[in-house]
Amino acid sequence: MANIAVARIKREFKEVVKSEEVAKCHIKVELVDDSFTSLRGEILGPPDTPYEGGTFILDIRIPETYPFNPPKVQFLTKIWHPNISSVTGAICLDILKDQWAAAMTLRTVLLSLQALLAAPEPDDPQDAVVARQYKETSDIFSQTARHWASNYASAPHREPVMDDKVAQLKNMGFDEHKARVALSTHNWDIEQAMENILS
Amino acid sequence: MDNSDEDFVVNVKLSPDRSIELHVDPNWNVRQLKEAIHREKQINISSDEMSVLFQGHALVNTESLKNLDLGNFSFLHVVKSKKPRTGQANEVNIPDASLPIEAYQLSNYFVYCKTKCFRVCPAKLRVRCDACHQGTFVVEQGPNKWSDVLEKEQIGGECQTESCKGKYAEFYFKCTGHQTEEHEGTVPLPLIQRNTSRVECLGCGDVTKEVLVFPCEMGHCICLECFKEFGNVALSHRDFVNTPEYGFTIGCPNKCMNSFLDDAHYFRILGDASYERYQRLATELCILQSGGVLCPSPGCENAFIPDDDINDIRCDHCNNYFCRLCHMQPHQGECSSSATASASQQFTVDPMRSERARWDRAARQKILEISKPCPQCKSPTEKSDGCNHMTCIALDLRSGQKCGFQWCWVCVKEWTRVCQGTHWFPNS
Repeated sequence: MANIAVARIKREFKEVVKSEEVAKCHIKVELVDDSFTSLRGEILGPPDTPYEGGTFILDIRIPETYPFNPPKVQFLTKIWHPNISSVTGAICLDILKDQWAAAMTLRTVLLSLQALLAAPEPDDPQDAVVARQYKETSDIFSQTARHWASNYASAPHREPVMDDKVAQLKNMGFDEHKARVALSTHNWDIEQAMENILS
Repeated sequence: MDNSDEDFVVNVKLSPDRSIELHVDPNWNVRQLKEAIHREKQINISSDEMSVLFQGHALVNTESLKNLDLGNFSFLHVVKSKKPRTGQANEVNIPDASLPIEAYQLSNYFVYCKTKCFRVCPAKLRVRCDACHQGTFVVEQGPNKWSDVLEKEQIGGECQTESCKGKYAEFYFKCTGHQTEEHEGTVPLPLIQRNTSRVECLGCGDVTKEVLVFPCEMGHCICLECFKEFGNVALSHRDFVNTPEYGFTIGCPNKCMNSFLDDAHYFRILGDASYERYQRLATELCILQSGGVLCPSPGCENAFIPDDDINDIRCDHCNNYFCRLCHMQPHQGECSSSATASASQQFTVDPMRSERARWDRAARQKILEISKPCPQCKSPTEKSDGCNHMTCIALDLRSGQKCGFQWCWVCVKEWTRVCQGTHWFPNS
């Protein structure tokens, strides 16, 4: 990788490790290998959100032309959020595309993503199904997001009713994740969800 | 002048076409220098009548030689004083001469050396008469700002060459990267500065000796290595802005407003290949914006400005015959103005170019397989990553502006709420 990108990432890595947010366990960055091109980020779900207390892992790829091009970031932890794909974990956030500026850093990216968890932008939705649910039935959205966070991000607050419905479908022989996706997309109507899986 | 106690050589110009080399002791003062020049007997001026001019000033007799920045083929100019030396009128001190040598030698000017070094070099500011171009000029006052040295007739004074009536100083920069005669081409790059404030580079974060300071309010700095990288990224994204003042240029890497490079010579720093690419891009854009047409034949690069009502064009250089709008073979009827390559199209190529044409056809075929055309400007677009919401960064051939069309990779149509709602992501 280009020396500039390596030099810059090394520097940022040290900064973020020493940062206040890391001290408070709000964010974290780790190297995946020695190359500094591939990193693993971690953000803590912000308080008073369905993601509260969850740990969300991010895959961070540094392009050769960093910091003049943005890093490629996506969620490895499955998440239910209007601006993040529930399927691929891809994020279409403007600062990760054409609004990237050379003074942004790993730290500001992680903090921006944390802010995105606290304040979804449903009018600029990424996952259409989630966005619609967020706008039309916000209670169901919050519970679903919390259910996903407790199951995939080890968040402490569970949604027992939803856990039960997933367990029911699982006991019928369906794949747990497929069952959860189907239930989540059909506002937790078991029959519709089954129809969806079987169709 | 690195070893300030050793003898060194100065170049003394006695007349426009006559100069001598003189071994001098750095501990001498100017008076002793004048006597030494007089002893050479090549000039018929007594040391009392003699003026030694350097950097637009007559040197005072008590000035010590080691305080002058005389290295690197600098020339001292010897003239007979025009006026009786009654006052101190033209015995102006060099403002910085009292500074320690090290500080004086730290150049604050940088140029792109076009003659020998072909890179950014520290430079020395020199002055000469704008009429006779000799260094025998005494300035009324020193320059205070860049416009004083870059624009004509800003600083007045008097030329000391007999018979010359020059009234204005002409400034130029002398590259310190190579030994040089005085009058050679260098391009001053005022945005490049010695990093005296030890500012971190916006790119790599290092504190480098020199930085390019963008003209934004924040004064964002970038080291020259990072500037190369940044400039090349901007070139490949065609991230250029057409400004009325500076032509095609790029702005601050932190996206600050109105923070553009004001001189195309900064792109020289990117290296020869990139500079050529920049020039070609800027020229093409300029031609297109003035209603011109570029020959689409690979490698031809011919340009014309045809009449508005002519659509079928024959290139007078490579004989390629093409439709002005779609760049394909001329055709009957209205042009769909699709610049997308068709696999079955025929090129009018001359036999000399057949090799290239074969390669070109194969390449076009490959492009067709892996790309989709922007619905607006038809530029073949490849998607390597990310969501299906495409923003076209190609240059629209008609306007010369960046296309900027927002389109959907799945529908190959303008991006809509439906696209956003149904297939923003590749797998959803």
